[in-house]
Amino acid sequence: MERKKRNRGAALQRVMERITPESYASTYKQMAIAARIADALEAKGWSKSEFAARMNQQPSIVTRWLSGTHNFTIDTLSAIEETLGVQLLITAPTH
Amino acid sequence: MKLVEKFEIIELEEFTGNGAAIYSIALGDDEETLFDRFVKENENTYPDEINSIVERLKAIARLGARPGYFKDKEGRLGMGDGIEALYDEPNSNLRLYCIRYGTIAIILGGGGFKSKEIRAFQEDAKLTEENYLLRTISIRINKAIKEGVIQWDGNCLTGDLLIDDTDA
Repeated sequence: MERKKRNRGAALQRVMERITPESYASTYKQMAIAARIADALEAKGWSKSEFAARMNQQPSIVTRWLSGTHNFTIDTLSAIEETLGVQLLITAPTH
Repeated sequence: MKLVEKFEIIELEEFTGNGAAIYSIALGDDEETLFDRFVKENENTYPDEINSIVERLKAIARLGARPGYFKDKEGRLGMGDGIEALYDEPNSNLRLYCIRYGTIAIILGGGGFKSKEIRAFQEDAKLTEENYLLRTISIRINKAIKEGVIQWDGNCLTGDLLIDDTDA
């Protein structure tokens, strides 16, 4: 059976075109930092609650960090790096 | 719960990367997917949020569909039909539903405005409709996977991605 040709949503195309490289880079870095934190927690075998306790934070804050939507401050990144023993600075994505 | 007799799983080629494959669903003979419709419905009212959602999906295609990027407990009828929502930013108005397969693939459904006045999606007719639609689709896809009609090849779905039960 011939596969359906998707009628590419013009709306999605418009959105893709108006996204700036700078905006995407910011979003990507937030999400990549979250991924590195998640990887570090898995490597250490720490639960979110355990990590939250070590950071003197509520588990809901750690959930936000792992969501990739959090705009980290340098102070918070530094504290997380010290606790997890990982580097969180992310280089820019390639397009 | 209303059954969906015919739909096709369609890869969204706009989102490419080695992290996760991103699909959506075209109902019946529609050429437009549920995600296309979601974008069209909301791009003028919530342009910044739609931009953010698309940026996040672009990143997920590269980084993988990590559990932290999603809110679970958005509906579960049985094993493997769990519906999740893309984690929304604190002040966001939109909710987008999806089916997540580990970190390797997601199938995007629809969604809509989620008022701050409601605590559960069941309090909103539109969100309830979108959530339950994706649940029925998830159940039917899982059946096709169990029957071997649809298979996994790496992080891609292969086989007959057109589900048609109209003659069943």
